[in-house]
Order: sequence, then C-alpha cells, then structure tokens
Amino acid sequence: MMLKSPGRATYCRHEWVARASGLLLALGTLLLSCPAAAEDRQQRILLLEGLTATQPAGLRTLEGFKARLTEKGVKNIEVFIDFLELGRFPSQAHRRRTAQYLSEKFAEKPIDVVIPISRGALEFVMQYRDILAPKVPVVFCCTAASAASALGLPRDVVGVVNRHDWSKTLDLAERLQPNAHKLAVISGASDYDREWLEDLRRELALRIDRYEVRYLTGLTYDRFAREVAELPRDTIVLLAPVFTDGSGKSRPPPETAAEIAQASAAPAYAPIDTFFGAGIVGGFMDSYEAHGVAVADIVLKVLSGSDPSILPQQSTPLHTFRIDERQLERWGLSANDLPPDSTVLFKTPTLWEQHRNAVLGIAAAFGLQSIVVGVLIAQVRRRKAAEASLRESEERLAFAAASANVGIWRLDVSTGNFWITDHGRLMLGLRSEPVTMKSLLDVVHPDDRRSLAEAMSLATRRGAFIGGEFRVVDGEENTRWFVARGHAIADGGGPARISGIFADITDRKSAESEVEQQRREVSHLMRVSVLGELSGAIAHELNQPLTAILAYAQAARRLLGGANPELGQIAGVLDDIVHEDNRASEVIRRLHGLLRKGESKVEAISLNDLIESTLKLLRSEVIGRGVKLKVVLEPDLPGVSSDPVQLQQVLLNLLVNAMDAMNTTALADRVLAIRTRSIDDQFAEITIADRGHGLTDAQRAQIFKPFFTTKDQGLGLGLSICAKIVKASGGKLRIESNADGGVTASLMLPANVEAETVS
Amino acid sequence: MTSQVATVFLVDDDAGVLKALTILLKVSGYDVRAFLSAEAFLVEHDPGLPGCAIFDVSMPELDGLELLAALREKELDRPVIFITGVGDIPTSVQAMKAGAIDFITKPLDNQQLLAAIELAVERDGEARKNHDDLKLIDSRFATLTRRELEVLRHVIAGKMNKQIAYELGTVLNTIKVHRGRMMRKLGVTSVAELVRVAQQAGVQPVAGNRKVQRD
Repeated sequence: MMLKSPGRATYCRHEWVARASGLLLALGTLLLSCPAAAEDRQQRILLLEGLTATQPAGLRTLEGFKARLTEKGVKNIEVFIDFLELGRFPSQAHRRRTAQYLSEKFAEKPIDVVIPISRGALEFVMQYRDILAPKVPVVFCCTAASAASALGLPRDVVGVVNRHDWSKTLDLAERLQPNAHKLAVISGASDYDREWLEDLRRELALRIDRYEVRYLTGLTYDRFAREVAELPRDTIVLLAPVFTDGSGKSRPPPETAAEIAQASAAPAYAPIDTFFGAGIVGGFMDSYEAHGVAVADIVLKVLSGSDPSILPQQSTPLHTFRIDERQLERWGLSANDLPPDSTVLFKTPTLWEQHRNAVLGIAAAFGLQSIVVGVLIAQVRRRKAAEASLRESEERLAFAAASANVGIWRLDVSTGNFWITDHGRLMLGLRSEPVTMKSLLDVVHPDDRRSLAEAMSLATRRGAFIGGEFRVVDGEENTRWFVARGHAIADGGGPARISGIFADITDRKSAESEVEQQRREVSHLMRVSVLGELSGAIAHELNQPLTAILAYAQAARRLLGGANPELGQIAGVLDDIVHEDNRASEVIRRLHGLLRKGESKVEAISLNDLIESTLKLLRSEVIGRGVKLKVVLEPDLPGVSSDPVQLQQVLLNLLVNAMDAMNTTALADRVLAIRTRSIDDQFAEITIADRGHGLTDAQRAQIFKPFFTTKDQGLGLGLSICAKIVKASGGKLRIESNADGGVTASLMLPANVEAETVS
Repeated sequence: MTSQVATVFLVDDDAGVLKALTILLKVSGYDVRAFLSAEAFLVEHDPGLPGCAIFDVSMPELDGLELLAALREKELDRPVIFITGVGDIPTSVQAMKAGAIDFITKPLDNQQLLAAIELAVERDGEARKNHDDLKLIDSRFATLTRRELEVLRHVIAGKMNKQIAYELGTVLNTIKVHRGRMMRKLGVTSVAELVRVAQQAGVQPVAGNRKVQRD
C-alpha cells in the first residue's frame, strides 16, 4: 500500500531480501517457460514498480500477482518487470531516460498491458504513455483512491486502489476492548495529514460520539511518544499516518507509527498495511498481495478482450482483519473476541509457553519412565523372537529365491545404492559392494543400458511398476538374459525404495530363438519347394535372355565378318547384350532372394511392385498352364511393412495354389484375377481369385491348419506358414469361396504411414 | 523368285528374344517382320510375300501350335519353324505332324536356325511357283465368255465344229469365230494344248451325246 506522501516504507529485513531473490527467480522461470508455448498467441505484460527491486511493497504485490496467475493456470503470458527507481533518482532526466530505454527495449516485444505499481509508477506511465506503449491498456495498483482521482486518468486506465476503512478498524478495536470509552486519534501536522484526519472523522462521524475523544495531532515526534505513554489502558488508539510533525520534520510514517505504537500505554489500531507488524494490534486492511491478486484479475479480463473503459475505474482489493498475535499477548486481549474471518499473524511461542511445555514434558517423562522400563523389558524379548523369526524368514526367502535362480533386489532412491541377495550378485557377476547404478549398468549389455536406466528412473519418479528384459555379459563374453520386475515403495512424497526380483531367462530365450530358427528353416524349405515346382518355368525365364544374348552375339559376329563392318551397329548390338544380361541377372537375383536363408528383415514394401515382380517370376508358368491373368492394381496403394522375401513367398504360394486349383478347369475359364486396393488408407489388400475346383466348407475351416492339403502331392504346410508370415506383419489372410466357383484369397496388411508420406 | 528377298515372319511374346532374332536375321540377309503376339501376326500377315514364319511355341492367348492351325484354316501354307524354351517331345511331335519345317530349342543354334529358314524359304518358293502357274491359267480362263467356255467344253469333248454348231443351235461360222477367239485368249495353238490347260484348270468336257438345252 502506498501512502499519499513521497515518504515510503523502507523495511529492510533479511526476510525481504530472501523473498525478493526467490520472486525474481520465480519470474525468471516464468519467462523461460514461455517460449515453449510461443506458437499460440503469446501476450506480454509489463509490470513497472516505482521503486527498487529491494522494496518489499512492490515485491509482495508481484508475489500476489504471480500466485494469482499460477492459480488461474495462465500459461501464455510473458511477464516482464522493471524497477523505475523513482525514489533514488527523482530527476526529470532520469524519468525521460527511463521512458526512452523502456520504449526501445519493448519495441522488440510489444506489450499488451502495462501495470504501474504505486502512484509514482502510475504518474510516470501516464506522463510517458505515448512513448512507452501508446494505446496499450494500463492497469494500475497500490495507489490511493484519492491520488488516482487527482490524476484525472482517462477512462481506459483502470486499477486497484487503496481504501482505508477506519470504521471496520474501529469495529475490531471495539470487539477486543468492549469496555473502552476513550479514543485517541494520532495525526500529523501537514495539509496531507489533515486530509487523512478529515477522512477518518468523516467515516467515524456517527460513532465517535460514544467516546471521549482525544486528538493527538500536530505534535513533534518526541511528544507523540510521550503523550501516548500517558494514555489510560482502556483507550483505543487510532493511528493515522504522520507525514510531518509539528516542527515540520518529515519521517517515513511507518517508522513513526512503530514508535508511537510501541510507546503507547493503550492498544493502537490502523487500517494501514505498512504499519502492521511493528506495534499496532491490527486493523481492517488490504495487503500488497491482495493488490497483486486484484490487479491480476483485471489484467486477465483485459487480455481476454474486455474493453478497459467498461470496467470499474477503481477497484478495491480484498480486505481482511489482520491482527498481530504478539500485540494481543502484550495487551492481554483475547483472540476469541476477534471477528470470525480474521488473519492472525506473527504467532510465536512465548517463553512461558516454552517453559510450560518443558515442565509438562519432564513430568510426563517421569510418569512414563516406569512404564517404559517395563515395556522395554517385554519388547526386548519380543524383538529377539521377532528378529529370529525375521532372520529365519529372510533366510527362507533367500534360499527359495536362490533355489529358483531368482535374485532379490532393492534400490534405495536417496542413496542410489542397490541391495542384492548374495545369489543375485553371483548371477549378475557383481563382485564389489555396494552396488551402485553405475556398477550395475557396467555389467549390463551396452545395448540394454539405456532402457534399463530409463525404466529405473521412471520408477523412481512416478513410482510405477517396472519390468523389462536385459542382457548381462560376463567375463568370458557369454551373454545371459535376465528379466527384472519391481515396484516402488512410496515414503511420504516420492518413492523411497524400489524393490523386486530378477531371474535368469537365458534358457527360455535360447529355446525361443531355437523355435524361431526352426520356423525359419521350415519357411525356407517351403520356399525352396515352391520354387522346385516352378523350376521349369524359371529355367525358361532364364533361357529367354540367354537366347537373346546368343542371337545378338551371332549377329555381331556376322556384322564383323562383313565387308564394311558398321561399328555403330555393332555397339548397339553389344548394348543389347548387356541389357539382356542384366535381365538374366535380375531373374537370378529374384531367385536368390527367395532361396536364401536369412534373418527376417522388415522393410517398407509396395505391394504393387511385389506383385509385378512375382508375376515376372511366374510368367512362363502362367503361360504354360494356359492361365489368363487379369491384374488390376490400384495406383495409390499405401505401402506396407513386412519382410519382402517372406511376403513374396506368400504371394507365390497363393498364386501357385490358385493355378493348381484350375488344372481341371476348361482352358477358356482359366482366369486368375489379381487386384490390389486400399481400404480407407488404413490397409492395403491383395485379392487373388481363381476359377478352380473351390473348397467345401469343411475344407475351408481347416485350410490354415498344418498338414492339411487338398493336393495329391501337397505337404499341407504352405498356407499355414503363409498365415503366420502375414500375422507377423500385423495383417490378415483369408480364403473365401466365390459365389460363381473357385476361391478368393485375400491378404490384408496395415498401411505403413511413413512409407505413405515418403512416396 | 531369286531376285526377291525372302521375308521371315517372327512371332515371340518375349520382346528381348524378338528383337535379338530380328537383328540376327536381318544381318543374315532376310527381311524380317516381327510380332509380339499371334493375333498381331494374323492381322498383319501378307501371304503375298515369299518367305517363312518362325513361331514361339509358348505364348499367352494363342500359342504357336494354335497359330499354325489358324493359319492353315485360312488355307495359307506358309512354311513354319517352331522355337521353344522348353523342348518337350510331345509338343515337338505335334508340331512336326502339323507340318512344321523344324522345331528348335532355345537358346537357338545359329546354323540350325539358318538352315531351317533356308529350307523353309525354298519350300515356299516351290509352292509359290506352282501356285503362280495355276494362277496364270486361271486368270486366262477368267477372260472367257460363257459361250466361249461352252465351245471349249465341246471342243475338248472331241466334237467337230459342225456338231457343236448343231448342238448349240447356231451356224458353223459363229462357232468358228468363238473357237478362234477362245484359243487366242488361252494362248494355245493346238487342241492337245487346250486339253492340257483345261485339265489344269479343272474344266470338264461336256458329257457324251446328251441333248443340249436350248437357251
């Protein structure tokens, strides 16, 4: 709360410095956190405090302001703050300089609202508004209502003003001192002081007659202290600020108020925040924080688009009864008499209270001693039994864990150290103790370190259940697989410990990889067997380029043997040979891909390309069997992710099956329809429809079962392997009967989003 | 015949093979017409050009053997050589029975192919020569009027002019004029010659002493 005169409160306690630096840090974070949200329309507000960064008044206002923004969950506001230091540099030159500096500074980041804190800052802003931030809304605070009115502010400048509620302050005094019938009013000697006194009298006009009123006005500072010391105990002292004493001297009013209140022989009251905590009992007053909150509310309204000129020009912040507990004790006043919504501050235990506690404590100690002795004796016995049982239980658990080849572990979050059972350490090959996160990660396979560390830190932070597999490499380069499970045990705030087990799963892993290996072998054998069936056709495919190459070579030789060999023509023939040779290589490459036995490799695949390449491989077979192809490929087919070799195997299988099914179909009807289509861009589908002998419902039900076949020479493994391959790619393979005979095989694979954006 | 370059009609659905053979045969002195499908060949084929055809056995839609059958249906006896990637015996037997000149397995032996083409072209030449003679006679016969043809049929039946005039209900002089004109048109000078060309052209003499209808 700013007072009417240039004289100001100048507390300088360490508490304020600490608060100030904390607040500056907090503002810093607010600024830093803002660029992240910069995509949204970011709004900027500039707070201008009239004095320096060490002034508590401004800082407390800012604290209230910031707290309110946080409470409202405001994010996209960038907050700037500048301290004008108008008190230390009172010259016009400084004001002009500062205005210029600020206008240049914020040209880069235009401000949406300017908030002058204190009357001085408000005057400054109004004086330089056109340079500083023309037409930008101004929302002020910490300025007396009368001062704000005196400035003749334009309608679009609104703000929070101080209001001094003498009436409610007197209410407080009356509640605490119901029997008081004397009233002392303290005030200074200047015109300012008289204005304050007039306000007070006007407000209390109807109530003051009850009292025997004594006006202590216009005294010297010394006289004030002496006079109040003489006051009867049942007096109510109302302290108006003293800006100037009877001798014409000026001192900051809070200092005078503190002096008077401390010297006073009767409780003093004032509705003024800066007097609070230095000797007065209390009053009905606002606070800087309340100003901060009130101004924040107005600013948010303005930022959200409200026209400032329709908002009330002067708002008052939240006022409360604020009481100094130390003063209640000094005067023997009862806290029970306080109004219900009072805020009692400065609660400190008195010496007496401390004594009482000590006495009570000692007495209780004596009383308890005998009980404790008895209990201890019993407890020692019980504890021994419990310890023995616990030890036994722990041993049992450790034995069970070791027998099951399981390690038990616990991570102490505060120290970062692990406790691991002896057997567990042996399993991991950890020799040294204590086990730290680092020494644990050192034995873990380099590829698994990161995921394990992440799982641990996630569990530490969120208290989540963790579980994961990791590998450990021992001294002889043997890799062993482990699975770890654990859960966090919370202790008040965050998780204090994470505990769990781990087990060696190397055997399971190798069994898994053996099964995988066998699956690959079988899959490979099936590919080889399909290709075996197609060998004649594939030989023909290879024969074609060889035929062409031979013919070209003979043509070239003839050309060379002629009378005038034309080199250009020969070169052309040689080019053709190269081309045909590439074609032969292509056939071999395709074959090699299908014949090779390798790890499965998932790639982005175009199903259309895969179909075209597969049909090239089958070309001669198709012609040889007199099958007519009807191929309709959707041009915008989304890509899929799968192993191209395995997927081609599926296609080969389906196509050969379809052709086999049409062996007895009339030549004219041997039509194989192959289509691709996109299903909502989510899936790519291939359908292969034949006009063969078809399947009965019973056959269809078993079609994907291993060793089920409708062919005389069939193994019955093709489709079961195909189904597995398609499933592994997240797709679906279906075989359905057609209405007009034959079956349609449809192969649906999930669209690959990345591939789609690339193509 | 010898003055005209022989044409080889090449049909193979494999573009690479087709192009290679085209170049080889052109270099070997043939005129080549290449087709990627049996259907295209059937549309474009010019029976008037001397030469032979080479068909790939295995082709989509109409295969080589079917193409040969289609050609024969059109009563065109163009000599045909088959080439194939997979030389199975039943197919080769079938091909030779259908009248193929040769059945060669890919990759093609140059000597064998060129020898087969030579043979095929020769066969085509002979057939074409016979055909040409016939065509000449036919064209001459085509110039005869109905009355002249009647007179001819009577002449080759060994009838005298007077007899013919009586049977055709006209006078001797008229028959003499018809007979002279007919002999001139057919390019013959003796009755013996006339009988030979009439035989070649398949013209039959009038039967015995049957009454001739009057018109």
